[in-house]
Amino acid sequence: MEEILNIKGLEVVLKDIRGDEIKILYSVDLSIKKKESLALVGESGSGKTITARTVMGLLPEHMSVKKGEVFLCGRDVLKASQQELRDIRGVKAGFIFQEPSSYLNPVFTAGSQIYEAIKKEGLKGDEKKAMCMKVLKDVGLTEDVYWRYPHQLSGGMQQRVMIAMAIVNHPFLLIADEPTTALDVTTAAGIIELLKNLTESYGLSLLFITHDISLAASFTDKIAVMYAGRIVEASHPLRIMGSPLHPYTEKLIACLPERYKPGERIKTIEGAVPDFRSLPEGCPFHPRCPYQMDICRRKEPPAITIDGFTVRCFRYGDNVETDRCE
Amino acid sequence: MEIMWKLIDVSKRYHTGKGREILALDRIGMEIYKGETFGVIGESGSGKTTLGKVMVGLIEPSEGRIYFRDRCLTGLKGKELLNLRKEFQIVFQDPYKSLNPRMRVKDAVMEGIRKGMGRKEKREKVKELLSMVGIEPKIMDNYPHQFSGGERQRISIARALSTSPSFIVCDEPTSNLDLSVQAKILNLFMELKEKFHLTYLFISHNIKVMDFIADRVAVMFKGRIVEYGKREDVMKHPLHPYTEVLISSAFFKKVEIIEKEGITSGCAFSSLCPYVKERCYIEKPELKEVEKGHLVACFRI
Amino acid sequence: MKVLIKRLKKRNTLSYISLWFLVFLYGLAILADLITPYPYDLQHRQYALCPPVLPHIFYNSRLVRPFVYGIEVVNPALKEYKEDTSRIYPVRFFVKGPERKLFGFIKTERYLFGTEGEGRIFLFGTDNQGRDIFSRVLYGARISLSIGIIGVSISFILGLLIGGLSGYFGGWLDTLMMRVVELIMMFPFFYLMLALRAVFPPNLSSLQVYLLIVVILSLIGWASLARIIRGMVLSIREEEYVMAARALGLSSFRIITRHILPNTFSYTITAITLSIPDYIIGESALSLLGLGIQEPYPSWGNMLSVAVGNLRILTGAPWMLIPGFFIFLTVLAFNFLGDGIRDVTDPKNW
Repeated sequence: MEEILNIKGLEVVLKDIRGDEIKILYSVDLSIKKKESLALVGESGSGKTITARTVMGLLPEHMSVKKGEVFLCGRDVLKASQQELRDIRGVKAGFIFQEPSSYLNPVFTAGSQIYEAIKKEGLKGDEKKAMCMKVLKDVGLTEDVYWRYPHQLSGGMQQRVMIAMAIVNHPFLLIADEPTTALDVTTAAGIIELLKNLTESYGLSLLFITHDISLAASFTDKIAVMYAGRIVEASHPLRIMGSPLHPYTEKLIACLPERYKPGERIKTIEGAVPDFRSLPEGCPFHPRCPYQMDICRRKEPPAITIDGFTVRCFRYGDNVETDRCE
Repeated sequence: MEIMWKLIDVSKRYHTGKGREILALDRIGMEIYKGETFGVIGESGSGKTTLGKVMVGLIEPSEGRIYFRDRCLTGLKGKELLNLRKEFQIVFQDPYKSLNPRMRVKDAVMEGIRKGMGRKEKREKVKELLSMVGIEPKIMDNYPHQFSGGERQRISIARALSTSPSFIVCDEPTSNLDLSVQAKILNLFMELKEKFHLTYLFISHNIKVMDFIADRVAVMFKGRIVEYGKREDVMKHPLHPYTEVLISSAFFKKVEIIEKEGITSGCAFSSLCPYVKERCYIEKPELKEVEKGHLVACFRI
Repeated sequence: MKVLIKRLKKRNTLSYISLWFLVFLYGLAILADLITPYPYDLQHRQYALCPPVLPHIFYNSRLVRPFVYGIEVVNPALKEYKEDTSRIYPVRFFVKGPERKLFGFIKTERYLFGTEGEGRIFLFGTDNQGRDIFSRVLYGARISLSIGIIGVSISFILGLLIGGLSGYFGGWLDTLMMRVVELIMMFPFFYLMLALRAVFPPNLSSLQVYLLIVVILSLIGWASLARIIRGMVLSIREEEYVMAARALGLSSFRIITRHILPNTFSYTITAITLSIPDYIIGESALSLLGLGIQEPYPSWGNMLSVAVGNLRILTGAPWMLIPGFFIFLTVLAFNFLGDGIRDVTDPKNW
């Protein structure tokens, strides 16, 4: 089955004030098939948002792609011109973000913003309006929302309007960057339910960015865990939550409070996420890793694929050396 | 069990310009025991943050009485209030906004330390407080923007401890933090509680965190406490429909909420409740004890 | 502070240059006593309305010690002058002249530079009473520049105080103060200034006039500052770190001075820098209309008052407008400096 999104060996660098190049994303590979949902999970500084921005072609000025390809429906987004990018955005891929109120224009009605988002040519005003009404219904909103202003809508409703704007052109891929983080628990549940339904009803693939690994595991088909600009593990949610391969994933899951009895101390990860300007030699996680070996200090582990799952760790594959040390 | 806080019929009204009134707190009545972690669960608009601020005296209640160790706080003014303020402190949600960006970290922590200590002594105390929360004293001359979110939250905690309080309101202290950082901060809260025999009011919308850290909980919805009791009772056998919804959502189980329009004079949850009856639209349910220590405000029981 | 200046240099060169230009100007004003070749009130009657006499450094294509030519009075009635190349007067340092008191108490006859005998060095020409404009501009700078700084300082303190208290406490204090502010702001600045000046007797000693002008300008100026500060205080008051400070049990005084006001500084400093020019122009305007500093004391404004309105002088002796040019440069410099300071103190740019 053809892949809707295929990222190969993506490397993104940042140019700092002194002109030095600092690597932010290091050889990211991921792929999403039709109607598949993939969650990109990571803490702050992991690079998950940068990855999403690269796919959208919206990297900030001081960042640029050094290497790699990003194929969206078979076309390399990185080589696209500004005009081509405009054609892709909204049509091939739609985007929704974290704070819906910041991304909706407060002086226009919800309906007019969805109307503006329609890119299909040759449609009359009535037809466009009908499309808006249909998509409002598809996201679970009533018709009267069309005439309401963003401030008259609740957070959940605003997010649904954003989703409507993103899917009105029936894109192949929907990129959602922490869409539920700013919402109440009950409202968030509704949005997740909606996204699940849309993958079926609109045939959408979903790239879902989040820091909440248990949320990701509850509804996506695949999870990719990011650390220090690399994908350290990519696997099926049940597999990851049950028997994680990478030590970081293992220790991250161990931080979930629901895995402990009240009164127990949570097992935390030693140290802190490193600044990408001063990453350690070898595997970026090794200083905090309880299984660190000599080779981890010297070389960066390559991505290994076992049974369709990917992991970057010397404990797997043929690279396991015999001289282990703690 | 010694009662530390007692709230009786505490309400807070806000007047919006058009003559309308918002009831942020609607006749709250509850007790907090010394040494416990009392959790308040709710979503936005529930009044949970207002409750915390009312307790530490940052907001005046419109009605009701608040007792701290049998002393009535409402109506207390001036010097007495200022002195009593040191007994209870607050840690806020946003680590980026809770520290004065123009103040060095050591000064921020030093402010609350009791007068009567020489400058050198105060500096020593600041160093002590910072080490206790896991911040190296040698960087105490830095400004907040030079620290990470987790570190800033620790500094806020150190500042709260500087007045040697017996009670701390933790208003969503980990909601803006990464998972691994949250784990460390939660551990820190527990350590400090043991070390200093603290009592906490822990406010959060995160059911999983609450299930882990709280001894007793109150579930709030639109300014009212709808359910109240021991953590195990409320989490494992929720009685109020709203609590059920919250817990299901938190564990990603499908939940049906149909929103019906209309303002009622009855139960605030009636427009969303799947079990709603006639009575719910007209009367407001009061908290009733259903089993020992477990109260709920619902006509279903 | 040093950090700010360094940053200014990097980000906004124009601003940086303006900073040093102003430092230079204020330096000149302070050291006027030492620098000027003539006292501000010394009249050279025979050389009234004389165009600028600049030193030459080439004689017969050779580089020589600076000198000036003599001034030949072609037509005393029409005030025409010509350079008399037959007479040469070298420019010397520490020349003797009329006795005066430096800074009010050091008696001396010496001047930093000047000419001897019949030579005159009128770098900016002379005015209608034959007084050296260069010297008067420097002395005038004292008035014009200092009124700006002093006036602004008073307004600033008043504005911070009233705006701060108003914003923090609210209630009747706030309402009352803001009505007062609005009352003051309602009147056009210029007319209010004139009205206030007119209330006082016209014949006051110059010192009294000076203080009066400063007071008038400050009393009008604090109002807009207070209102803006109040607005900022209202929003800062709701910030979490302020709530934390209240929870710590700190006194209101401490909260206002240590937490709230410092966070208004990035705005205030810029606002102040940008309003100093208003005060300078205010003083100039008053003096221009004869309500400010009186003769013979120079201020840039009253120097202009003679020139303006007299067409013969304007067309025949344009160097009389040099004080206006100085006002222009100063105002421009303060504006550029203010822009730069705003850039540099905005935390978002850090």
